[in-house]
Amino acid sequence: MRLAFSQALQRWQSGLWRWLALMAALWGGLSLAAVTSELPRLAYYGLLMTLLGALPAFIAYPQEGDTAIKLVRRIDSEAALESYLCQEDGPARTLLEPRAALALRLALLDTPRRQGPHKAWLGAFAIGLALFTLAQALSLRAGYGISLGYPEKGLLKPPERSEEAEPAAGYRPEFTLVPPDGGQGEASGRYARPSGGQSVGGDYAAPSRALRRPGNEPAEPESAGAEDGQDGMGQKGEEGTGSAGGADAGASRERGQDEEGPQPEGTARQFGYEGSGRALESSPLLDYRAVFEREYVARTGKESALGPNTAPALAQESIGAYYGSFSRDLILRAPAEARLEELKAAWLRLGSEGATP
Amino acid sequence: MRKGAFLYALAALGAGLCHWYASGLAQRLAARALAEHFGGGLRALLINVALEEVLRLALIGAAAYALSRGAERSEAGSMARLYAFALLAGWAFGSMENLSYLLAFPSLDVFWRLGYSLPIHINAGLLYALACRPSPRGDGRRLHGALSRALGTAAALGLGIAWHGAFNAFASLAFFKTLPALGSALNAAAFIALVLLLERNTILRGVSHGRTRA
Repeated sequence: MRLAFSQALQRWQSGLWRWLALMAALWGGLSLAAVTSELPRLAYYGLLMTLLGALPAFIAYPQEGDTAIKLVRRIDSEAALESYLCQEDGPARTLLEPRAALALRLALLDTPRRQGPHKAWLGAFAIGLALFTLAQALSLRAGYGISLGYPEKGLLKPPERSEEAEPAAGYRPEFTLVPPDGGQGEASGRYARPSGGQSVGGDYAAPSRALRRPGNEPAEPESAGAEDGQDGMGQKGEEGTGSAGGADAGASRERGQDEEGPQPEGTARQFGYEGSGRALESSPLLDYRAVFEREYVARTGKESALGPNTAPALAQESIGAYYGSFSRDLILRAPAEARLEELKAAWLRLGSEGATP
Repeated sequence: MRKGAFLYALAALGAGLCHWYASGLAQRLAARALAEHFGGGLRALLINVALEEVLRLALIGAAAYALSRGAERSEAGSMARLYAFALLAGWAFGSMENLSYLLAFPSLDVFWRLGYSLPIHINAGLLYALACRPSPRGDGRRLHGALSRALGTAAALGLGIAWHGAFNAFASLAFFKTLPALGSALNAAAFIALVLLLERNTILRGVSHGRTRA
């Protein structure tokens, strides 16, 4: 049994080497693809996560065929052990026993040497490292910086502002959480119809809060974008999923893109919320800094570059001054649930009709 | 890897994907009835888990049956094949689930599922493979053997549901900060124990097979 486990340990070790080599190759290849092409962010992380999760399968994949016989034949060149095992109880078995025991003792004394990884896997590992290094060099050259994950390309892209998305001169989104005429706003964000539907702007308004499924498919994430009021519209149309799990989510995402045209992952159509701190989407704070950088270059004509000390605190005062004119006051009104009011009125009418004799 | 083994691995991965789809479908179909009878919460959660695990056991059982009735192969060889099937099918299931979560919650926290959730599916598959191991022809006809196998399989199913249900219940109803790390460690320990058991089983069967073959 000791010999068998030592053999199994060797197999697990070689599985680990194989996994490491493939992981390095995939990571390097994906990093390069992410820098040089428009590889979607979720595809990058999805592939990475799938191969990371394959570690148990690589380590513990069993040997094809009969492990015990293979082990016996490897350590037993004179077939003493195999002939002993093949015998039923009887005098022949007793005669074969000393030779079998001797073969076992010799095998235990001469334990097989540890084998390193196969050259092919070492090659795959080296290729992966080379690809990763190349990806980092290209990433630095393109200005994305060194990144272990998906490069932050969104920081260098100018904001995509279409004519329709451009707000009017007097438009103050922070004051329009509830539009007074109840038109466009009713079908978006927090006030979306529960069953979902197409909003005025052509976006699909997903249900604001789907029932959480305890099964093997995730429920819809609660959209933080909706909490930001009007700004959540674009995100909801794109990211909100009527039934968020698996294939439904994918279908909904495709539908959203069909409606709005192709849009690279991780870039926002409208200003405002893009993601939370640990989200895979890029951070709005970083985007604000990029906007500031662009304005700085446009106004002063001086090219700004990353210096040796890139602490965000250094630019904090300037950023504060730049965004200081933005109003931070919010007028929060009690939500006017029109449908709820209608239902209440209908209920009261029914009650009063039922009370009359 | 030989062509036959490669095709077998592909079949196992396909079976895992089918299991994932069938589980989702069954849970969606059952969701309304569950909500009416149990009102959601822990009981509905456990029944969803039970649906998933029963389907997994059915899949592994079908594979074990096919292996015991299929081409002439040693008992240890069949056991190794079933073990590989459970491993790959569990990985395919867990990976699909992880990807669906990544689509729904694009956050780095989803990576915790690699330790907390994915091994649950792999471990349950290995446990059922241990319980449903292919028996030599004629062994199942004996009443005692059949009864002990049925009891063992039922116990494995109960353990699988309890383990999976406990992890889901803690994650949904009693989450605490160190739960992902703790759950990952527990899953890893269970995985190592199951792999050692399966190795031991395969080797012992191989040795006894060598003896009975003579």
